[in-house]
Amino acid sequence: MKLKYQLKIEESAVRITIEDDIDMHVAGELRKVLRGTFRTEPSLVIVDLAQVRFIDSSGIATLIEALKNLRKWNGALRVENSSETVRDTFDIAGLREILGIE
Amino acid sequence: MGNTSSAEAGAGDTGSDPSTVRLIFPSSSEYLSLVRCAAGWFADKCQFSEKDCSRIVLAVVEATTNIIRHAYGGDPRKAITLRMTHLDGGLELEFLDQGKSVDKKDLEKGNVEKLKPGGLGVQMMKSCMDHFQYEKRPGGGARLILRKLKGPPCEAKPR
Repeated sequence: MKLKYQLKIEESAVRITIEDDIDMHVAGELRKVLRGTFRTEPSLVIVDLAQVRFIDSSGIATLIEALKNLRKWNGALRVENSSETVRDTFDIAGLREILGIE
Repeated sequence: MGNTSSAEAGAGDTGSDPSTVRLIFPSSSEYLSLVRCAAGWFADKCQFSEKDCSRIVLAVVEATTNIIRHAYGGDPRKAITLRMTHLDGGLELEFLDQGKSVDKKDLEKGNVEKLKPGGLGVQMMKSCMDHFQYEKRPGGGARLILRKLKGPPCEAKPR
């Protein structure tokens, strides 16, 4: 187990709090965690990035893949509490809006 | 430290440039944390802004990830060399590998579809840095050179 995270079910939503930086080393595990939440077809998956200081394209691609999967049953993905550095990375990728990051 | 052997002293006299740091590390994603720390430290030493330091670190991780994934196909037993040089007004990063090189056209022309999922990484590297140069090496493998120059803080250049 490389990725540190906490999972919380809140009615029809799932909250995943990531407690680690996200790069290629942990992106595969993040993908598994996200896919694991899809079994119940949640209407909303919240990914809390408050403790994440770094994310790379592997992490962003994983979030986009999760968003595409959720849309199959009209589910949504919300990325919350991104730091300024992480928000800048989403800007560089040009994917801040699609992930609903303010 | 006073009893430096002649061999060590000799090694120090073989053209080591005080403005250059060279790292050689295995092509395993486990080492991405080390590379991030080293690149962040070096960018900070070159007196880049906090935002630029973060972007340099991102570019270094993207370049390393692409080598691990595409050049070496995920084999963690290969070597990656990263040379970081403090330039007058910026820094230069050189990545060397001995893996399978990518068609330069796919990188330079922005035709990144074939490289997915690495395609996003290439675009992000180009956005973070001022200079991107990829070339095949005569003996095999590839060389990637990235440069960042100090200047007024700029807004993100989205893809």
